[in-house]
Amino acid sequence: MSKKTKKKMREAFAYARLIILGLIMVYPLLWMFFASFKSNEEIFGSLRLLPKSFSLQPYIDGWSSAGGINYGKFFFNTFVLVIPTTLLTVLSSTLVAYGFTRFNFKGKKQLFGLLISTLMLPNAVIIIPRYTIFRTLNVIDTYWPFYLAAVFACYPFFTYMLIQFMRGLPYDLDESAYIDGCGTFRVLYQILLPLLKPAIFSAGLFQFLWTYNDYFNSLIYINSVKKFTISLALRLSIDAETVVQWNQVMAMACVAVIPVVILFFVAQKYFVEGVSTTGLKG
Amino acid sequence: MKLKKIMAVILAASMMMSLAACSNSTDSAEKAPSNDTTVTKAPDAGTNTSDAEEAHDPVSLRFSWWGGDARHEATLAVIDLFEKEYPWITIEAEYGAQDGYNDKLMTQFASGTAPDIIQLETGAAPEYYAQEQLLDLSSTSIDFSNFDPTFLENNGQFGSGSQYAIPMGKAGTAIVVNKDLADKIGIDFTKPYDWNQLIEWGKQVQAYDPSLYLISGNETYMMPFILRAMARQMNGLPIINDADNTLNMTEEQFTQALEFIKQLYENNVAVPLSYMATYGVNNQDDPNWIAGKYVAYVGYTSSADVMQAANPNANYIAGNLPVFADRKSDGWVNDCPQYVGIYAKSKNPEEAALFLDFFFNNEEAMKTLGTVRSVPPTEKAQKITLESGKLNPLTKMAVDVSMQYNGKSDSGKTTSAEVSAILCTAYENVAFGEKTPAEEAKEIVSLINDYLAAQ
Amino acid sequence: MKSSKIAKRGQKAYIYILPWLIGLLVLQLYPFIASFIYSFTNYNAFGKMNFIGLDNYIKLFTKDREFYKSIGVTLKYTLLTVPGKIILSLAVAVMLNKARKGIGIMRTIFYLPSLFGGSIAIALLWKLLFMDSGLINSILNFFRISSISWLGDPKVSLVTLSSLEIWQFGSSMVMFLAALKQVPQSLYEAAGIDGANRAQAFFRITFPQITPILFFTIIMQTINALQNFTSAFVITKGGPVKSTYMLGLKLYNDGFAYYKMGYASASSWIIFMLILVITLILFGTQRYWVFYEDEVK
Repeated sequence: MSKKTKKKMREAFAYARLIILGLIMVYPLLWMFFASFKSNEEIFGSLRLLPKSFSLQPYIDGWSSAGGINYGKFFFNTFVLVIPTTLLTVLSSTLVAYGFTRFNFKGKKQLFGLLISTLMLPNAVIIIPRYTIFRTLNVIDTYWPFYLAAVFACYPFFTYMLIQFMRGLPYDLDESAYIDGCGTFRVLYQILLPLLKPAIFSAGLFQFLWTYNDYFNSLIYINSVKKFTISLALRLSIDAETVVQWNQVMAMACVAVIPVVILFFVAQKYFVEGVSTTGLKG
Repeated sequence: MKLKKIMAVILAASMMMSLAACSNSTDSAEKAPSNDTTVTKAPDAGTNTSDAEEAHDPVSLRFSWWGGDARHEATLAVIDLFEKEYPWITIEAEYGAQDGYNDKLMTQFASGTAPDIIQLETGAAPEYYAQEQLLDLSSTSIDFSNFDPTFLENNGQFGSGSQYAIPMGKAGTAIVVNKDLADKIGIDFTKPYDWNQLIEWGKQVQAYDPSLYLISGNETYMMPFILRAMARQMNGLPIINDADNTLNMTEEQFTQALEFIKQLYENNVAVPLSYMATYGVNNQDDPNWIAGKYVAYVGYTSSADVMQAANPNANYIAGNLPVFADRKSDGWVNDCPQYVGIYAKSKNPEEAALFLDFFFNNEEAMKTLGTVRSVPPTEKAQKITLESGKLNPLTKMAVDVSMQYNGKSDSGKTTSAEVSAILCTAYENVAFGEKTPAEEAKEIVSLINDYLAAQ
Repeated sequence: MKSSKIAKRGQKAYIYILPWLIGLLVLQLYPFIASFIYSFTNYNAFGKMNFIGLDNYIKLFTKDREFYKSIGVTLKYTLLTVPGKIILSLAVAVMLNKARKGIGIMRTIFYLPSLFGGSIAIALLWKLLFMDSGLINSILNFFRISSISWLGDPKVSLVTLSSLEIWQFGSSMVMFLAALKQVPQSLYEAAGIDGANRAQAFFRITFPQITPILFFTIIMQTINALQNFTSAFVITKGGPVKSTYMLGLKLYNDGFAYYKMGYASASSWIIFMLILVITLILFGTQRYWVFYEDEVK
């Protein structure tokens, strides 16, 4: 076999692998989408992927919710909650990560230890004391518990993640910039940030998605239905004692996932785009 | 208490830092509407409409419940009706799914911010009562004359003689029977029968067709169906004596009840738990139920219509419930799917009581609510819903069946989440054949005694 | 002098970490201390709180029959999910790192499962896939393999749960993609490697460059797995016969269902210690295989 056909074969093989794996991955979305057109009996009683018939009715019925509030409002609320939270988290985590990686200061090791250890205590037992703090700050039934945690970098996952990415960048970069007379902020802004684009985009993506999907914290801090987010709204009609119209639930779950699919599709090119080499020493 | 003081000091210290650090955000937050119950803002609808009610200061109440769409709509409509009648009172509706409902409520109890009016899970309510979170409703203006006194005593008094929670609907254990299938095999659930009859019927079903089962049940519903009901029939008493923290059931009695569970699964009377595990408490999702492969479903009256809707092709009736021949009591009891109560720390208990009085006694409210919380709790509301055709005949039949029996409620420590978990684990271990009934009976006694020692 | 300049520059670090310092003091420290104090009390969340010394811890280790089983389940779950997820996500990330036609859609597709998190739609789907007459068993039957009770057999239920966790490998994959992007192309050019010995190139150049992120992913996945609560809560509730009763779920039940917040806090601090020990061990291995570029001189 010539080198060329060999290469082609390998390429085809790689595609085949990706497509088979991809089918397994995409099955749930297809299933959910088609389930939104099925009756409950079809959903539970049959293995067929395709529904017997298609109708937009579940989407129309699902869109409006009890009390005259519809999903338009829930989407609006979700973005009001999620977008600032995401931006603030990325901003604060980047600053803190920069402080931890590019400087030597007293107590660095101990503080880093503290940062990591805040990740280690299970959430369940700190719910009540944390709620007490936000009640004292008078921010229950607002989105401030999320904003405040974002402003003050209380999502240690992202701080630590950005720390690790920054530690992958050579310190020589900073050093030559200092020699050129740059200040610390300019080093971060002009030298490191462009190189960190993939990391920052993935951090933003994660925070967006996780806040978007978060049920438990939203449930605890938000009381009024008119402030509900999508993740709370999706469960509004689910009750063990009534017949759940699963097609409506699935329809809204499909609608709810559209923004994040679009976001990911748009954002993913930033993981590909060659930011990689500029200014990096070999 | 010393500890509480220490905690308060720590909190205060960190709050001071927060005030120093982020005074801006707290300022703006204070201006935002708080969740404090003493909301002083004037509800727009309130002050201008009525001139006769000038004496009243505007009051805002919070009311939380869980449920599905129909319940949300109907409850919101009743709130509207109430606000028209009492224009100075506004009710903030806080509704959602049952997922996490109790967790949120507990967080609110812990910080003193629970809603004024609270729909309560039956399993959790006795604990809330014991921890003094619920207001004594007998001392309020609520008129209970539409309720059956025995029903009230069994549901929401927790042995105190005062009403601390109001049952929102009537329910009870139900056996939903696929009548056509039962007839075909020759099983009659409409006659009185005893526990062993179930085993015999189960064998009969398997002999008729090994792919069919007599009972579809999940452990969450089967455990009280067998263990708690047998206890009430054997002793005429709940498993636990709440007054002096002792067990009414003996180890031998537990062994006997668990032996029955073993028989149930060894003879394939009930669908194997390993099969049912997938569906949790949602037996209606089981394709075999949808295909009509079970003679009967064991559960509650409040889920009868859900089971019916899953396989609408079949013809269902509510069957009688099993009893021991030599019982001290029938054991079966009318209970409720959920309670409603008033938060003990509510700043406006009188207005909250006004609302509940309206909720249960106003005819328009009864009509609006229909059966969104199962069969209504009062005779009068039942009549209204029956006339309007809203009451599902199967649900009605199931409730009527459960009313024939003279059992007494075992609501209390017996029904607490921790004891229920102990009993469910035992049920599961025996059903899966991991432990013998005797071993598990011993285990139950020791675990419940541990639980009681900590009370 | 150079060193004094750097020391001076070092002081500026405090400005950058200030947001977190405030957050730590205001929002994070109190819950931490509070839960630690709870663990020595019989706090029930309604107000009762008496100091009972080490009773909670003693009870956990000597009396609680579920505790050791839960630790076992949790560790098993961690061993099943962490390597599975990391190997799969790294392999897929390497495959997706190439500029191929339609790669954007491919990436999106692989990330899809993770978009749903622990939503009810996924919980329902998982149940329908794995129920006795579900799709998975139908496929097995097609190949003449007899059905398995995926969620009902205590021996396989944990594996089924783990597969859900592994299937949602998207976030690790994204992290690896981002890390792969940070590897300078010039390194490959310098090494003069063409397509012929790609495996060698991967282990000699790519792998060392992404070790900081690999390390981070291992740490985070381990912590998440040891604290896991969602998948068991949403799908199995810990059953059957406690075969998926993870510590995270147990302490949640203890605290929120059985009103034993003090006791739950004690289990939390045991999880904390467990994670701390494992993390310290992992951090200890760092110098043998993780390559950082940022030695601040």
